Amino acid sequence: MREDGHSENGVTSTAARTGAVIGVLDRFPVLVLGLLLVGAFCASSAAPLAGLYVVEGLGQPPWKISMVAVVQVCVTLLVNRGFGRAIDRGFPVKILLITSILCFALGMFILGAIRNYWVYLCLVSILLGIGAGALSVMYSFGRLFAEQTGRAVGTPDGLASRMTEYENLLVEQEFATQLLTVANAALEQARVEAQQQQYYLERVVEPNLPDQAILPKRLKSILAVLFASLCLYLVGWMLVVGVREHAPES
Amino acid sequence: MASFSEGLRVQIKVVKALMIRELVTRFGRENIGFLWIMAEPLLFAGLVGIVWTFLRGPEKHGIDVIAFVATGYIPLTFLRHSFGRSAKIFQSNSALLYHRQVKVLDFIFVRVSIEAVGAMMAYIFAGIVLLFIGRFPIPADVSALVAGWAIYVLFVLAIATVLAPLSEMSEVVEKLVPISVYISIPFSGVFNMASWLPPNLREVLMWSPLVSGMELMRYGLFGDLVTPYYDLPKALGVSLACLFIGLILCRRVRRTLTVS
Repeated sequence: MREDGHSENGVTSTAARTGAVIGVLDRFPVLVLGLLLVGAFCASSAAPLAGLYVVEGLGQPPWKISMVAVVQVCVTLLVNRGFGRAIDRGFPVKILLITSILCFALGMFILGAIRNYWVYLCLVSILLGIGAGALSVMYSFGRLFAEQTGRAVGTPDGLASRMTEYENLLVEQEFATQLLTVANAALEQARVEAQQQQYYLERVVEPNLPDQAILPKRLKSILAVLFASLCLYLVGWMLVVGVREHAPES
Repeated sequence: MASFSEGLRVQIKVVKALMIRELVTRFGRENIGFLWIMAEPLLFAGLVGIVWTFLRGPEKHGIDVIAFVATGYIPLTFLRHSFGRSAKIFQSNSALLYHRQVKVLDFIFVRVSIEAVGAMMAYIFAGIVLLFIGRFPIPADVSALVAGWAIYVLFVLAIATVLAPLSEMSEVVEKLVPISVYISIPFSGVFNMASWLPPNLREVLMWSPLVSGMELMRYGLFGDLVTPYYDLPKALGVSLACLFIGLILCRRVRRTLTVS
């Protein structure tokens, strides 16, 4: 990271270091991705089949598988330590990355070309170990990168501490989205209903004048008055007759 | 036409004169005179109403008991008196037949009219008095009231025209008249409304013009508090049939009468 020329010599603070590392990381996305691809491909294709290859393909006893594994793991550990130190010292990451890719590629090529147990044990396993050690450097980069941008675990304003908050917000957003969807649907439905014609008025009968007046019952009223008056008259007449009968003879 | 109007004038005069004579001969000039005609129905209706009030409470089917009894009993008195008075009516008035203008039908008409007017007087009097003490309704439908009275009076008149000649023909009929009046009470609708009865019984009662008349009267008085059942064609048909028979009988009896 020295060669990108932005970080000062002798600065040991984490921020400065990580800033430089990010610069490096940012410069080699293709390399990083290539290493990841090649490493993951080699590891995932070689590791499960190594046992089968040693026993079935080379006709060796099974314990020799362990030999290969031990060599590869030891090499990986050592290389990993070495690469870590190299990065801390400011060794160009580009070279490390290319070395890793080349080791992977060479190891896989030799593994495919020469079918010999000892070659596998002494050469291929060491090469693959180197590649695998370099592969783990990637994860160190990732961590540094995360620390630099405050996304690593542990810092108060880091990604993890904000994760729960973020999750809550995410849930809230989801709920809000659903509510919005529902509200929008209701609004749309209401609008459609409002625009729909809901009541149909149809004139079945044209308005006209009443054919026949039900009230007042004129004839009935007249007759009632007539006959009621007659009754009252008769009663009154009889009273008058009675009174006149009592009058002294004039 | 001139002869008709002349005849009508004479007829009215005769009826008037006969009525005055009847009033005077029956009640005399003493005391309250013909006002006695009101006394009996009023007394009876009042007493029965009071007794019923104590026995069955002041209301029956939502109607005031005193008003109900009064409206039922006053027409019944009219009916009873009319029937009773129509017996032997020709014999007691036969002297009047000396006058050419007086016909036998006039006797019946006059007596029934007097009873009817007296009953109406009692009705009005009782109604006004009870109205003041709050036990009587203001008539809801005067036309129904008058129509009910008209049917009632018409039927009573028709029966009186039958009874008068019959009593002249046979002594038994004369004695049977008061009994028949009491038998007719259940069919007169006096003490119950038709709507309180089962439908089959109601159908039978519709043949009685008295029931139709009484129902109409009560409806005219109480209005929608009661459910009236009446059958005007039946009522008029029965009344006119009776009147027809009565007129035939009167005509037959007239020939046997002799002016003494």
